Amino acid sequence: MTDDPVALLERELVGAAQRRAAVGPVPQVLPWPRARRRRIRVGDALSAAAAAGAVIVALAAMALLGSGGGGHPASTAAATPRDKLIAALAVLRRPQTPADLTLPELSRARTPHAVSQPLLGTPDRPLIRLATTAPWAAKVYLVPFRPLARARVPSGWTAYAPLKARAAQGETITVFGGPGGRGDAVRGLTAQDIAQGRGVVDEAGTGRARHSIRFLVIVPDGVAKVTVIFAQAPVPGQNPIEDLVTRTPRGNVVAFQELGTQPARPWLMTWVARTGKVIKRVALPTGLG
Amino acid sequence: MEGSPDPRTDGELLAATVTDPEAFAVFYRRHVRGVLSFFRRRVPSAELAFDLTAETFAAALEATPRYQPRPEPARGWLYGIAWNTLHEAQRRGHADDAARRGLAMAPIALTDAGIERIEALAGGCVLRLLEALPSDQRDAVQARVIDERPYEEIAGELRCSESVVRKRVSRGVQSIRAKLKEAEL
Repeated sequence: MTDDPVALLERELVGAAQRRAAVGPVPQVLPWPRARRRRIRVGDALSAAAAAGAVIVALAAMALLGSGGGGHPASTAAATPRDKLIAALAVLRRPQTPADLTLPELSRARTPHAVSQPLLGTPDRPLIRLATTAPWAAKVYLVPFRPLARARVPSGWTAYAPLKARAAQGETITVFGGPGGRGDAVRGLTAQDIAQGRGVVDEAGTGRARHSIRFLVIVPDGVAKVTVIFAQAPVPGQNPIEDLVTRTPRGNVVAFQELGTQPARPWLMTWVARTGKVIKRVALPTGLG
Repeated sequence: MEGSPDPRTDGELLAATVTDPEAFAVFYRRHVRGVLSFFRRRVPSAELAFDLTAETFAAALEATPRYQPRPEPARGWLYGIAWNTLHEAQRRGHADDAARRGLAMAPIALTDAGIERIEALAGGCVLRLLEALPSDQRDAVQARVIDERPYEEIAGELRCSESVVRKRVSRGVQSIRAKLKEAEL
């Protein structure tokens, strides 16, 4: 029995659980065990106070310089772009399932780098998620990409400025989910891009629905509803026609489809929290759909 | 290993662990084999699979006070930790032991008999039989049975029809079954 490591591990775990039970309950914190918190020692109190002072000074300086932009609050100075994406999007924090890896682009070659392109990078396979299925039956995948490793950069590309900019970005999200579920639709969204409402993915209608407007929006955690105001082009002598469409995010993605032969143009998007509070209003890019 | 079945759900066991350490033992016994197999399929050695399993359960134990019951089974929560542990190990190049150190757990030295026990629990002998299959069958079984990928995707990758993939998987699995029978495993 002593040679059975499984039984030994059970004994160790039960011993650890008993020690924890003897100490008492631990305060409730984050529900998902992703980031391990640092243990704070009593001796750190003074340095923490000093650090807090430094942060206040830094924040004041940022405010004076006008650089205090409104981003997602989960980010920290030490967090990597990957950590920030994970902190911003709950869909990345759920366990991966086989369905998440059914993106056709991933299977076109034997390696997980099949969809690699110099500017796109290398897919972060463990973080790929099938976020939702759009009303036009396209499966929408969120595929985080790491910048291409220096050693893998094709010769002749090393001095290419956009590639250098891509390397500086760190890990970014690309949305796959064009009509029929093929093709990448938008590239290089950082957590900050998503927080600022720049994760709008245009999907022009095709075939029977060629006059429709289709687009996807990636929203960070905390957004319970997204409303979009559609407005038709003004006709002289007539009142402007507006339509308000509300959708609920699924897998941090909202899909909008407006059908019609003379579609109105979406022009303003509003993010609403579960409490009904408006989180953000974003002017949508022209030419959507 | 097999005690009398505990009627509590995994979620109830995790919630009870804070005050009843034995509840975690029940949870562990329910899932240790599955987690070991999960890692054994993805790492090259039984020792590493056991190391990652130990770290996963230690991290789960650390996280039980924060566990909140949710609609999906608690098994998914455990495997979420397992995935994180695996990715972290792949990133670092070695298995982390932070959770075990945090819980002051003693390291477990593995003997040959211990490794055999892990292999038996995790299905390592099946992996050896898989390696012995012809390459076309091995690739198909690996992709379908271990990686759980859809036939359509595998057919695209192997540049053949779905029915050919199905046939290769079927032959490969039959061959493994036959060899297991021969070895009376």
